[in-house]
Amino acid sequence: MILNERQILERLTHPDPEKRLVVTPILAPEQQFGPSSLDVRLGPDFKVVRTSRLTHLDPLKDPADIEADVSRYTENIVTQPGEPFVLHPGEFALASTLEFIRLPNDIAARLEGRSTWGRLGLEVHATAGFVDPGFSGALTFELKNSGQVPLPLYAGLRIAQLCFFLLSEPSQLPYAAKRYTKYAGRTGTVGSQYFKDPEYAALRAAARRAVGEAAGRTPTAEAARGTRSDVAGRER
Amino acid sequence: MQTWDAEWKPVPWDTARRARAVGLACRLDRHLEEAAAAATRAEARLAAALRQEVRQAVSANPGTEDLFAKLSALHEQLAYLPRLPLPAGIAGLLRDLLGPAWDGDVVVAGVPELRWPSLERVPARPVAVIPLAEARNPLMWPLVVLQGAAASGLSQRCEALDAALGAALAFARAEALFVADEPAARGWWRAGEQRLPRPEDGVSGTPWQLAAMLASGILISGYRRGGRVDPEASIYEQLAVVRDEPAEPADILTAGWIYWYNRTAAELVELADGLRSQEGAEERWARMRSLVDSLDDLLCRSLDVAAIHRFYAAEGAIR
Repeated sequence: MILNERQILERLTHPDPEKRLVVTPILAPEQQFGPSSLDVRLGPDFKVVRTSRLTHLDPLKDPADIEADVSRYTENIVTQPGEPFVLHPGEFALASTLEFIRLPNDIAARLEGRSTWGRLGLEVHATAGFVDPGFSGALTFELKNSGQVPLPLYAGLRIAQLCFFLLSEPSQLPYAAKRYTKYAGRTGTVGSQYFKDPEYAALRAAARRAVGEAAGRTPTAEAARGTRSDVAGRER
Repeated sequence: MQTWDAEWKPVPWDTARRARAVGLACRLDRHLEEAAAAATRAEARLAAALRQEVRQAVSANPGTEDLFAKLSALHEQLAYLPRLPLPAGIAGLLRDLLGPAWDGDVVVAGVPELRWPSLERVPARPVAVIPLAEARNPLMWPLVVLQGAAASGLSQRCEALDAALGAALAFARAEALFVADEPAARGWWRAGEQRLPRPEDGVSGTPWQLAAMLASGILISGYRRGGRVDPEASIYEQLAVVRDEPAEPADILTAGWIYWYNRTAAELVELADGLRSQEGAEERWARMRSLVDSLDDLLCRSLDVAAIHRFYAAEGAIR
């Protein structure tokens, strides 16, 4: 069941903290509420990838090295109020909601774009628009300009909306209680933590074994990890 | 979900001082972690070694002065690592408190010395300084604001800023002097306590309300005055009960100090005291980092979001 505006309001003001839906701040409820949705705004921080020194992302490297690579290839931009972040046609950037959101264990949500921005070609997520019950933090926007003109984006603009779904019964495995979560409680824009998926630990171990077998000896940690080098092959 | 009492129950003096040192260790560790990610291979190795030393310094459980001295020596090594960009929240805070007269070109520079400059003798330089490992600690930013005022030629505003920042500035001053000048620190600590709003006068619309939100892990950029939803009222009147008002930066920082002294400081010291035992040490350190990082991030984001909220309110986009 999708919640209508009164049901959303009821959950936002629910006296029981376990049942309460948290969306804060709400700057202008008369603008943000729709018949079955709540508009959310763009936060001030963005992450863009500088591709000129990036050959590829290797998920089998040591996680610390991947984090270093990602940090090196990612530019963090924080805009001041009234200052634009310009998303050019075809460009992709990560951003986050201005709002902090916490879902109770019996409500899921879906992040959708607003038609106002869709008409200009702005996409707000790349297949990852579903929000699990129990999520807490800022939601990430995967922004892409599919239009033909550059889009100046300002923190605080209403670029997306949330609709809420009531579960028939509360989840016993809400996001915050899951053993493997990578994005719970984050308040700003967070890049992909794909390399922290446990599957990659197994793949790394297998890759190390393969290197060792090929060399006929136990691989050193450095050999198994691979040398960190930039596109020009300079060792870092 | 943790419970929270709106009552001023700070940790004992010695615990507060130790929490200052342990908190610095966590912030130094975070800075090293982030600097390593932006570093060359050699620099990253240095950062990894320094992180080990930071953790060993806390695990050895020395006296507060000794721990601070060790951290101070390690902090100087940050000069050999890449500079990290300062959080935007500092600029937002300066703009909020100094207004349009603030010279936006004033650079807030990071320095490897751990001690803050004496605010009684702020040098007439065109920059405000902040110890590198404290750059992500919004609780200490009131000390940057006063320097920023002097650097922008707004020294005459210092008294008004002192009044506006109230308890947040007094506690930041006390923390900066905890080791270097304990008697002066005690004076500023008492001043901070006296400048706190009284929770018994009602918590709504005060830093106490924000501190309770912090205890729930919620962003504290605004106040929700709330009230009951009147089902007979028009739908727009009903919806208005969830409108937020932006919180003042001083309120956000004061809430942070309340939460730090009432809750985080004691937890942090307790975790640090158990680090000597090998069993569960990894988990304890991760928990310590999480306590400090999450508070710093939540306060920093709250300042940023409140500034955006105020911008739209001032420009008339929202009522």
